Amino acid sequence: MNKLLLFFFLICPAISQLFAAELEVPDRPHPQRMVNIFSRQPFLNAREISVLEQKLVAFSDSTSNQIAIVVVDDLNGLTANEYATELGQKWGVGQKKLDNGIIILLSLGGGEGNRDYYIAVGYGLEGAIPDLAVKRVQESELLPYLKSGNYYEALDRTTNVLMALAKGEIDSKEYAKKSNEDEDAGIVLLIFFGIIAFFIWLAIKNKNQRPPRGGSGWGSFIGSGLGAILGSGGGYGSSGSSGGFGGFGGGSFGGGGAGGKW
Amino acid sequence: MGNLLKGKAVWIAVIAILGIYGCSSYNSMAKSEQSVKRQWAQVEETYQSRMDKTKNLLAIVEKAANFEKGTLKEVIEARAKATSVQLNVDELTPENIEKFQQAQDQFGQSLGRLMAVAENYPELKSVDAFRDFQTQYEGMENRISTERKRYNIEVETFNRSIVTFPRSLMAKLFGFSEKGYFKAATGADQAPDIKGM
Repeated sequence: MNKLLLFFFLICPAISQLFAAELEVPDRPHPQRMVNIFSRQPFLNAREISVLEQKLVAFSDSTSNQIAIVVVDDLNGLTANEYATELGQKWGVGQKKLDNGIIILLSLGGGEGNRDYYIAVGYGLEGAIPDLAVKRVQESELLPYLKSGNYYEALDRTTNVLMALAKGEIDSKEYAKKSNEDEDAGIVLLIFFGIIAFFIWLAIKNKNQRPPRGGSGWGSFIGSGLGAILGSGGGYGSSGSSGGFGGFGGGSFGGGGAGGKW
Repeated sequence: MGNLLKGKAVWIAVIAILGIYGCSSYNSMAKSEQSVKRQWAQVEETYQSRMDKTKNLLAIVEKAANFEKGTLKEVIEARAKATSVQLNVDELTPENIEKFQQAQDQFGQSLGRLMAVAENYPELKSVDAFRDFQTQYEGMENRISTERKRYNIEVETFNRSIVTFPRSLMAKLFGFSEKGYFKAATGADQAPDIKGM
């Protein structure tokens, strides 16, 4: 009976998770990449992809702004804006407090004149890159090269302009400031858990001095739980800085940007 | 004597458990309500931004000679009405949200009609400021629909947390009530109806 209950406790959240999952946009890739080609049509060659990838990772490392390129065949019934916004939000492109991510979305599925392009801009960059600016970049840098089939040139030029615009708003200095605030919060949390752990340790110690009454399993249960929390707290902040591309930082998107068809 | 003490201990334990349960459910409901309110602020901001930016558009269109006066007047009136319907963040009841949405949707639809009619005015379309507005218009509607969708998700979480038993008892006790949703059918993305034109 208990096993059955346990089974339900384990399986129910898993099932509800399954249904809650959004099926419209792809999951974050593993390992995380800036250039994500999901389309099965011929697009860029391996060397071009790696050059773009390196440029965007270096840009992320030096300024914390993240520009992700996503190329798909189909928008799964969403508009290009919905797709790009949803995907940016789900992957968390950009940093958490700065919301300085950009998604360049291309959908190659439709025929000529029916293929979508969209550039979604995270909340934090809407000031530096308003919709009008996105439109202008698209008209001068993206569209002409997309139309002539020169995809690498299109993406290279577009990212160059977006990088220059984004850098004007958020540079590495500002990022360092924000991420320090983050660390402070982490330390406060650590101290807080430390105090709780101390009291629990005290309680367990006192209890052990009396003759055991079969309840000590509880204390060690809580203790180990806290240990796990503390253990994970110790790694706080170290995940984003270990050389190379540290991954997307949890930025948010609010529907800003512009797009069209080609 | 021993039994009496035992009885007392059981009662104290029951009250303590109820108290802890009450606190924790109050906290989670209050937290969820806070998320709804925060998201409402985002929704309001996007609507407000549409209101502000449209002011510039109306000035441009008014200057354009021979622009159809009926459509323009409709937008001006709907805008004034939408401006007058403001909600307090503590009054996000289903009725209030419906009223708010009605006013905003009416404004959104009349604006959509104006943008469609404007397609027939090459003079207007050649004005840079108007073309800029066209781009912004798209972005405005996208932002509104994004924030509205997120607001609905927050409301759904909150409403679910206060209607399920036994939380529903706590919700009544603490005075939490259901919040209103935006309805999708009358959204701004609906094609403008042409009958009125």
